[in-house]
Amino acid sequence: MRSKPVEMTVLRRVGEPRLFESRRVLTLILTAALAWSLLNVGWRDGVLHAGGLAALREMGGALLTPDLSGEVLAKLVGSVWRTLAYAFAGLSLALVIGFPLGLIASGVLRSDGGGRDPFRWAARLLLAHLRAVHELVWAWLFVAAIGLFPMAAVLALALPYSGILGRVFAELFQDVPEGPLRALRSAGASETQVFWHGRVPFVLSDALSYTFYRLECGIRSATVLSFVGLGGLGFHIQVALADLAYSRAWTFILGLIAMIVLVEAWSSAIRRRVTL
Amino acid sequence: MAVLLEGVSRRYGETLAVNNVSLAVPSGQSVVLVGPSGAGKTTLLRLMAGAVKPDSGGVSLHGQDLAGLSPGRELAGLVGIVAQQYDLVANLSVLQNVLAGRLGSWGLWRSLMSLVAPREKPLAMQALTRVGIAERAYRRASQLSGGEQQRVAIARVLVQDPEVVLADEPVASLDPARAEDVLGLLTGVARESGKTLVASMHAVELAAKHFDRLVGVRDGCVQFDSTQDEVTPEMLDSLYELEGLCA
Amino acid sequence: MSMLRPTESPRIGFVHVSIVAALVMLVSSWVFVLGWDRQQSFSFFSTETAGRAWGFIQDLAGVGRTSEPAYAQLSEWSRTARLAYDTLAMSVLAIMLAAMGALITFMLGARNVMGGGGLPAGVTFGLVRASWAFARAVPELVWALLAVFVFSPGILPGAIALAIHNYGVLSKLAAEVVEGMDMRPVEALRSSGAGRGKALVYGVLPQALPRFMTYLLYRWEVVIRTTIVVGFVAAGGLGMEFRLAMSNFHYTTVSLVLMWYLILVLGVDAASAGLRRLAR
Repeated sequence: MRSKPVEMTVLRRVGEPRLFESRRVLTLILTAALAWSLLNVGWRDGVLHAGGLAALREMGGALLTPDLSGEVLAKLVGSVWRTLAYAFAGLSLALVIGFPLGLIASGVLRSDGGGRDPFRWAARLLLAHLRAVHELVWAWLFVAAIGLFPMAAVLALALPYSGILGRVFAELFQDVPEGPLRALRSAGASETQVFWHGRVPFVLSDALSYTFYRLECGIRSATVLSFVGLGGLGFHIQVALADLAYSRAWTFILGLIAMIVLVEAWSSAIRRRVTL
Repeated sequence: MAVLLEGVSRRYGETLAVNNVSLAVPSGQSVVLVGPSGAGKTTLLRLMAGAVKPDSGGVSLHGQDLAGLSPGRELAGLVGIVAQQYDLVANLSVLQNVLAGRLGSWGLWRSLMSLVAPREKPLAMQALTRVGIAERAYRRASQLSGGEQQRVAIARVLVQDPEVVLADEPVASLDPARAEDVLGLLTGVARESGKTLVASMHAVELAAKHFDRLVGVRDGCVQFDSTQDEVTPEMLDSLYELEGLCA
Repeated sequence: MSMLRPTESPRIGFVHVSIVAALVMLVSSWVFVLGWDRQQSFSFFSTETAGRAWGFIQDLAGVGRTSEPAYAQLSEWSRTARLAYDTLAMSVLAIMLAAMGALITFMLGARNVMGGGGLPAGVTFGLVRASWAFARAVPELVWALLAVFVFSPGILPGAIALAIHNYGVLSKLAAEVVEGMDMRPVEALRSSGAGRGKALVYGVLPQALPRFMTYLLYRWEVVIRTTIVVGFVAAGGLGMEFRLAMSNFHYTTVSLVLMWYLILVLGVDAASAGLRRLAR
C-alpha cells in the first residue's frame, strides 16, 4: 500500500517531459502543414480575380441596401418556411434511424457490454459511414436517383445526421454512472426497468439538449441542401448571385442569419434549462 | 435470526477480505460494523446483500439461504440497501426516485406508466414525510444537498419495505451535523418499523451513540461484539493497534 | 391526506412549451413534405421512383455500359489523385487560416477577459462577437459563392470560404474555453507585476491551447467533409469533378470521386485522432 505514492511520482516525472515533447511535435506538424498548403495555392495567377476588387466593393455596398421589395420578401418568407420544414422533417427521421442504431452500438443492451456482439460492430460501422458523407452530396445523389422531391432533401439531411446522433447517443448511454443502476437492481428492478428508470432519465436531458443543438445545425444544412434545386433559402441565394443581383442575395442571406440567430437563442435557452 | 453468517470466508485475489466470520443478528436489532477502512466491512455487507457469493460458509436471511436466490423481486423483499453515494437517478424527481423502491413489485407496463403519471403516490409521500422532505417531492434529485439525497435514499428503502436494511457508510459523505441527523433518522425509522438494520461505519463514537450493538471488524475478522453500553475504550483501541488479534 | 400534499407542484415551463412547439413544427413539416408530393404528376412512393433509384445505382456501378467504368481504370485514378491532393490542401489551408483568425481574436471575445475594461474593451468585445456570429451563421457554401467573384480560381476561394465560417466556429469554442477557465493564475501573475497583456499570454494561453488544438482537429474532420461541397461552386478539387461528372452523366466517374472522398474522410479522421493524442 505504501508504495503507491512513490509509483505515482515516478510516473509523473517520466510523463511530464514526454507531454512537452509531444506538444512540440504537434506544433511542428501543424506549421509544416500550413506551409505545405500555402505552396499549393496558384500564386502566379494573383490572389484576386481580375474584377475581384470591384466585385467586393459592389457586394459591400449591396449589404447596406438589401432588396426589400414585397415580391422578394414574400419569397423570403416562403423559403424560410421550406428550409425549416426540411430541417424538422430531416431531423425527426434522423432520430428514428439514429436512436436505435446508437442504442445497439452502445452495447448497453447486452449484460456483457456487447464486446463481441456482431450487431454492435455492424451498427458502429454503419453509423461511421452514414456520417462520412456530407448532406449536400447525399442530396445530389438523391435528386439524381429519385427526382426533385422534398423527400430527397429530407433523406439527404436524415442520413448523415442519424450517423452523428447515433454516435453521440451511444456515448451518452455508455457514460451513465453504475451506482444508481445498482441501487435500482437491488430494489428488485428487472433489466428492462433499470433501462427505463435508470439509463433513460440520465441520458434524456443531454440527448434532448444535443438534439436541439443539431436542429440548429440542421437548419444551416437545409439551407445548403436546397442548392441542388430544392427551392429553399440556398436556392434563392444561388439564383440571385447568378443574376449578379447582390442586393437580393443579401436579403436572403440576412434572412438566413436572422433565422439562425433566433434558433440558436432558442436552442441555447433550452439547453441552459435542461442541463444542470 | 434475521441475518445469519456461518463461517463465511471470501477472498479477492491475494487478500482474504473476510476470514471465517460467524454472526447472528436477531430481528429488529440495529447493528453497526465498525473498523478501519479495508477491514472487510463492505465485503460483509455485500455478502449479506447477496451481491457477493462466499467462497465458503453460508449466508441466510430469515432462514432463506442467499445462495439459492438470484437478484430480483424475492431478494428485494428480503434486503434493501442505502449506499454512501446515495445512488439516486439524478435527473428524475425525488418522488420518482422514492417510487423506484416499488419497481420490484411492479410489472413493466405499470412501471412505465408510472414515469408519466406516478403510481402509489400516497405511499411515497408518506415515506418522504417520515424523512422530513415532503416539500421537495417534485425537485430533481440532483438539486438536493447531500443530506437531503441520503434522506431520499432512506425513503426509497422504506417504500421498498424489505426485512433487512443494509447501510454502507451511510454518513461518510456528510458534514458532522448532517451525519448526526441522518443517522438518527435511519436508526429511528428502523426501530419504528421493526426492521433489522446492519450498517458499516468508520466513525466509532458516532456509531456507538446510535446503534444497539457494535461489531468490531479488522483484517476480515470479528474483533469484538458487544452491546452499546458495554463497549469499552480498550475494545475500540484494539481496532487500531499495530498487531491484530486475528485467530 | 392534505397534510401530505407537497408545497411545490410540477410547473409548466419554457422547456415544455418548446417541446410542444417543436412537435407542432414537426407535424406541419411532414404534412408539407409529403403533401407537396400529391400535387406532382406522380407520387414519391411509387414503383416508378423505386425503379429510377435502382437504375441510378446501376449507372453508378456502370452496369450495362460498353466502356470500362472509370473506377476500374488506373489512368482515371491517377488523374483524380491530383484533385484529391488539391482537396486535402484546401482543407488544411482553410483550417489553418481559420485557426489564425481565431487565435488573434478569441481573447477579445471572452467575457471574463474583456469584462470591466471600460468602454473601449466593451466596444471591441461587441464587434468581435458580432463578427463571429456573422461568419458562423452564413454556411460555407454561401461564402464560397461570394468568394468566387473575388478570388482567382484554384483552391484559394474554397479555402477562404471554409476559413471564414470556421473562424466563427473556432473562435466561439475557444472563447468558451477561456470563459470556463480558472482565472486565479492570471490574477496571481498580475499581482506579481506582469502587465495585463503578459499576464493573459502566460496565464491563459498555456491553459487554453491544448483544448484549442483538440477543437481545431475536430473541425478539420468537418472541413474535409465540406471541402467537396465547396468545390461544387468554387472551381477546385474533387467537388468540381463531381459536379462536372454529374452534369455530363459520367456516373462511374461520380463513383470514383466518391471513393476518393471516402478515402480522404476516413484518412483525415484517423490522422486527427492520432494528432489529438499528441495534443493531450
